[in-house]
Amino acid sequence: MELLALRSLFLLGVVLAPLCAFMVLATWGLFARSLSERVIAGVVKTASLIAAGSLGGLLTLILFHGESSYVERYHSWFSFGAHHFTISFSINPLSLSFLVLTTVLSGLVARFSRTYIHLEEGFTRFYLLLLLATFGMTLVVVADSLGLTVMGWEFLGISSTLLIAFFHNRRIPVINGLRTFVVYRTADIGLLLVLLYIHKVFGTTELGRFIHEGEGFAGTFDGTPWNALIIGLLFFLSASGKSSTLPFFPWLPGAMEGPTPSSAIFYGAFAVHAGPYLFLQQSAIVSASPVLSWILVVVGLLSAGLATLAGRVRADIKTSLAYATIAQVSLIYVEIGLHWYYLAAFHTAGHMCLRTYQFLRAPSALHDLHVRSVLGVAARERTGIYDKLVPYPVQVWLYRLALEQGGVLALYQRILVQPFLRAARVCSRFEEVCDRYLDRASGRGGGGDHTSSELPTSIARSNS
Amino acid sequence: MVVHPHGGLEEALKELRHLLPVQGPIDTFIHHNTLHSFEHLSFEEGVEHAAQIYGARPYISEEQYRRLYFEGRIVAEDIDAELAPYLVQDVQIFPSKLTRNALRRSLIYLGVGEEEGSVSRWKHSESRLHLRRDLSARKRSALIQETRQWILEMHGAGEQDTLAHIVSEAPTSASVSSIQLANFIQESDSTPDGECAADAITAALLWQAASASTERIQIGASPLVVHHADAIREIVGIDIFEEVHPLLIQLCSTFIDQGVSHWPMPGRERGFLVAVQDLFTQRGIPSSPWIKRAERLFGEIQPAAIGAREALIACLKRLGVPPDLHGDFVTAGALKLKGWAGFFALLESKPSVARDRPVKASLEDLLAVQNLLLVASIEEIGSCHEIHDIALPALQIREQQRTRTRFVRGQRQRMARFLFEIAQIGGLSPKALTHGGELLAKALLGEEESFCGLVRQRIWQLAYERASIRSAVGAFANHSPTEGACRPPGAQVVFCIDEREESFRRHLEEISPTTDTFGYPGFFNLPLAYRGIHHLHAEALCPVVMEPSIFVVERDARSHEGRRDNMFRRFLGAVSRELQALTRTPIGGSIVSTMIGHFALVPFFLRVLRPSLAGRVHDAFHTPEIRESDFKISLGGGSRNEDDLTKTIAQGLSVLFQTIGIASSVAPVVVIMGHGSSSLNNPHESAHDCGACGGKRGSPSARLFARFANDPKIRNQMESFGVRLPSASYVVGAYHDTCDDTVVVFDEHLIPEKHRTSVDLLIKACREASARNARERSRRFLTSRRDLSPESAAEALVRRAEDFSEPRPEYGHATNGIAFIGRRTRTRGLFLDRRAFLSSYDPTQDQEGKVLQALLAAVVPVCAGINLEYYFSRVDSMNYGAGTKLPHNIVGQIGVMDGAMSDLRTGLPWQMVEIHEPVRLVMVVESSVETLTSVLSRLPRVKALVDKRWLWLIAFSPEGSDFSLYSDGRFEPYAPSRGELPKIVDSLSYCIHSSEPLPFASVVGATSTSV
Repeated sequence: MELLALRSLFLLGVVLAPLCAFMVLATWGLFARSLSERVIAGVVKTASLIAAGSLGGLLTLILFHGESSYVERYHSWFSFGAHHFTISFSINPLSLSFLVLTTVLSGLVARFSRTYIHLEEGFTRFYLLLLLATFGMTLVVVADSLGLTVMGWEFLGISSTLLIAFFHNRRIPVINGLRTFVVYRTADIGLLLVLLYIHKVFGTTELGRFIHEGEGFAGTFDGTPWNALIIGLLFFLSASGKSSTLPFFPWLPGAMEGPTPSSAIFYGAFAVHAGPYLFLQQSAIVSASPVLSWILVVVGLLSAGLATLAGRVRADIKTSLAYATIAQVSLIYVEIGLHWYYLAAFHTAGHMCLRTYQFLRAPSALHDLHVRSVLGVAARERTGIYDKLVPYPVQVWLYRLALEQGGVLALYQRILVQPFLRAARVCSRFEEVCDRYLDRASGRGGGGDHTSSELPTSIARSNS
Repeated sequence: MVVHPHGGLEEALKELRHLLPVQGPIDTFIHHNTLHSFEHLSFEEGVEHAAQIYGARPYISEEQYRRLYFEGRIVAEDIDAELAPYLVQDVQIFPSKLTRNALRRSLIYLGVGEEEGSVSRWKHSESRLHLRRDLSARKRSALIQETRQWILEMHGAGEQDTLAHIVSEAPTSASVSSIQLANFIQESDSTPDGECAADAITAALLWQAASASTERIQIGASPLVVHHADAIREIVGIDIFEEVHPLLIQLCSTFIDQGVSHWPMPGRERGFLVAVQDLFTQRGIPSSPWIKRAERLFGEIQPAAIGAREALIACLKRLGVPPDLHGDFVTAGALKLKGWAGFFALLESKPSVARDRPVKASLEDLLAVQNLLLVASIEEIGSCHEIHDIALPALQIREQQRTRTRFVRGQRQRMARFLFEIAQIGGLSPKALTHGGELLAKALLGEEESFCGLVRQRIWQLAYERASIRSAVGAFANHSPTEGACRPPGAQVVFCIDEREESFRRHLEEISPTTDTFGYPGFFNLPLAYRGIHHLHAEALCPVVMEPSIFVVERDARSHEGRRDNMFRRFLGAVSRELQALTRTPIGGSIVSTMIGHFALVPFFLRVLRPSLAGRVHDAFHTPEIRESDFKISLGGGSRNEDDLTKTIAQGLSVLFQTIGIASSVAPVVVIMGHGSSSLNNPHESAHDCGACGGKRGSPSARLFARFANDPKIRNQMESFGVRLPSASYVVGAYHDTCDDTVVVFDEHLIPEKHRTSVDLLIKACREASARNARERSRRFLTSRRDLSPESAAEALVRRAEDFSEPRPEYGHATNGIAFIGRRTRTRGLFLDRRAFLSSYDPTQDQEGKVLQALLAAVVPVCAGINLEYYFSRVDSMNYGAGTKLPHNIVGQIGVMDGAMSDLRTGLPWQMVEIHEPVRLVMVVESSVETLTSVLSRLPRVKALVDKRWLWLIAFSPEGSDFSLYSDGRFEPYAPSRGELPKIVDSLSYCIHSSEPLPFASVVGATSTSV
């Protein structure tokens, strides 16, 4: 019994450590004028160690206690009628291994950033967002009820957006941050709709009530294939937004504006792999719907192809890594669609470790090149077969297609953005007409007198 | 910005080539004056003119100068001296209150708000209006008192409501109740709240008076924009450069790419314009409307067929740019992308820069493509936003109409702001300002114009440099020279002149008093083209102004076993290259990440938590350890004539011995110490290498020098040049890594038995000195601990060099500011705080100045280049420097961008220059005025640089201690400040407790032991 209490305490430690550190720093930062780097690093280090220690304890207990899949219920947050919103975490081999990865990677990146961000304006901001992201990812990993997943998902999203715009005195990072934000918000509709849908169909938001875990990935789903398809598609809408695959192709390269460690943790590990993880955890849904499986395979292949194509023509390290990341994540979706869950899980975990490290090492490319050239290892052109097999005109055509990223963005612009803008313009004209009519009706002559004041406040307002 | 009044495109293009930054691939970083093309102007004119063209800062901000003043780095005495020419005629501005000189003085010492545009507006609208915080209590209370009296005069005590209205009308003032107002007038509230209200009321009335007095001033028209982009930004709120440049940057980067992208751009060997035209005439690719338009445009104009120049002109015609603006228009566009454009221009003049993937680049091609895309984008915006006439004159007029009100309001507000501040520091009350009216306002504003920020900054900068010159000369004048010649030296160590070696040399001499150290440019007078055993290319190891004349290929002299070892390393290198490449392919990437991706955690853990261990592991597998090798040496043109070779080399070596003045007094052991730097995750790694070796490591030069100097044949030959190396002397090559402060000795196996003990002793001293040097360097790193011992500091620096999360592996040349050319006896035991390049030169053995001439020709461009590059990158990190390192992204193996996509960032990153003090180099040459003058007249390039004051030149007489400062074409006697230098026992205990710049000092311990 005591062991059980200890076990739930450890789990709580892992999940709450980043949140507590966030709260401590945020409140402290509100009252103190500025926090010293030493203090911030100390708090973050403590949190990481607590999380790692608790995780170690948890793993030991699970190893000796024997039970590796269970649901830890903490507290019923609120309930009305027959509906309960409980804070409950689901522990199984998959979530445990990703919990380990999340804790380890975020700990390493936090340590890395201690020296990397040193003396930079926004040191505090960086760590606050990193902690928030860690907390978000942890929630996504262990959440049992979809409500908690959504919460974690949003934390992850907002911290990622703000870190892209970390250097907010330049325009481009802010623009790219905003773009990512729009993608996230649109994609997040998927998860919210799933929440509504399952609530309507199954009367609960706890996935465990209708998805029964089996040994490994052999879970069962209570609903019809039709239910599974709808849930799966909505999941995919959200997941693809985070992983920058089709249909949300591709905001990821633009997200490389933040400092190197934030690019590494988000686009090497957390943000892009949250989607595949969601599907792996709910693999029963995929298994239950052949149509969904096929959609995953086809869309995944398409995205992988597009990302590879677009990545071929990038001459900078970070975005070419970003496209490679999209391609890998897309292939993970393909593996999930083919029901190769074990492979997909291994692929995801391996890719997280590898990519995070590669992103962090990106500024070393020249050093590596130098080391290799001292060793006498020449750079090698990789176009041998391609050059021979593909005729020159086709090469040029493909190159151009790659530059346009397969034309996806242009298509969206034509199908979605332009009609939307046109509608907005019509609305704005309509408003103008109404305004003028109302002005005339109320007898007020000419507008614009609100700008006549010479006061700086109004100048600032009118300029903004 | 008008660069060329005649507008000619031809001229503009020629001039543009000078305006663009010339920076080659950053893996061989060569320091040069960022404003090299402005060297025909004097320093002040040059930086100010350039600032106007690039929209950059010429000097640091007044606020930063003022901070330096409070820190004591700038002193009042110097400011007054520089201010004096501006205080010649005094004029009453406001009778009995304010004179012009007083105003100018307060403008310097107190300053007015410097924020520009949006920042000032934001501050003004978001913060409460209050009096300046730095106002003295006396001035403040006088101002408040006068305001109070004025209120009484004007309104009587009764009309508080009107007043309350005025006060609350003022921008973002504190809301003041009529009770507070009454209290203010009756002086009945002395609580902090009351004080605060008094402050707010005074400020509000002052602001009111200030803005009232600007109301009548006529505001002229705003300058006409020269580019469509500026007009369109105002009219529709879209920045067309932001639309066009992402595509253009991608085209540029893949075009010049030297090995990052999988697919090189097709047709790159036929030129940029041709390749881009090929791409843009492809059909059936969905793209955004403006790109579709660009496709049509490429079809219509056929730029590749008519040539870049014609295409450019066609674009200008299409955009309706009047012929007299052609030049300005193209220049404005090109400067928006100056990094890339500069690289294209460089490639055009030096195609060999593209080593791995040859390209045919041309600046005009780039400009043609840029303008073609601009045309497409502008026309698209024109049709979307119903702008029918996109000709530039029409847009200019529209822009002016549209921004007129805002411009006028902005100008008025700026003036009001100035008056508001100036009234406070000048002690003018609201009453005075109101009474003075427009006339006073105009007088004050006239002062703002004639004594503008630029003038004030120039005064500050000159005052700053006066202090720098005084402290340098003072140190040399007041340091008592040691009599080095009175004892035979036990050993001699020749370093590079690099200012980072100053501290190393000092520590070595403190440890081993019988050792003499010398400074000579780090290629040691061997202009090598060197190719190491495995190197893919030969590298030129000499200053960029020279051509290599000795060609060396290294060969492995080892047994079969050694070769197998090297094969193994080579194999590992190839595997790591293939793995890196595989992870970027879909299938290979899947296999790698699934199978071995998890193992990335191992190096990840090591690198983050145990950097030095990770470094050792990496070295064990990757760094070739070549102990035994021999060299194939030839002269230019492949000549291998033994005699010529011996002669050339012997001459080269002799010059070094003669220059540093030991031609006839060579010690039993001579060490030649090359230097370089190695650090991780640092794209600018090569900027820390040896400047005299063309931005590369100086190890081969040192190693070969030693080999040559020990060769009996070459020694014999050297005698004919007047240098006698006794057979009892032995020369050793060594290498100092300035990042981790380690010392490597080359060819230890060749050292003869009889020299081994003395060499070992000396190397031991060097290692100890490098540890102390490490300790001295750590004082500037804020993250390093304060209580380190030299040994642990050295360990920490090794860790720092291997730590891939460290953006400041070393501070490089930061803090450089002095160059001393003369005998070491003059500077031995002088703590120069790693600020001084030290070049050894014995004036007593060089009556005609021939040696000096050769030395100055090499030393001045290198030192001034480094100094000025640091100056500009420090002064304006955004424009001249590369900004912060954190978002840097390596592109095409040749440079860095910010984040996913930006202009190519040239210059130095902020993390390298943050502790640098931006002052011009003070070069002190130990030589008589006559000799130096005649040497200068023989070196026109150096003379021009000195004449235009891009560095300060001072002659230091070899006999006594008289100094002469070069100014306006001749040397003027310069009186150093006489006074004792701080006496210190050893440099470590003096410096390690502070992380700030320290005053120069005499090390007493080191000099007294030499007796």
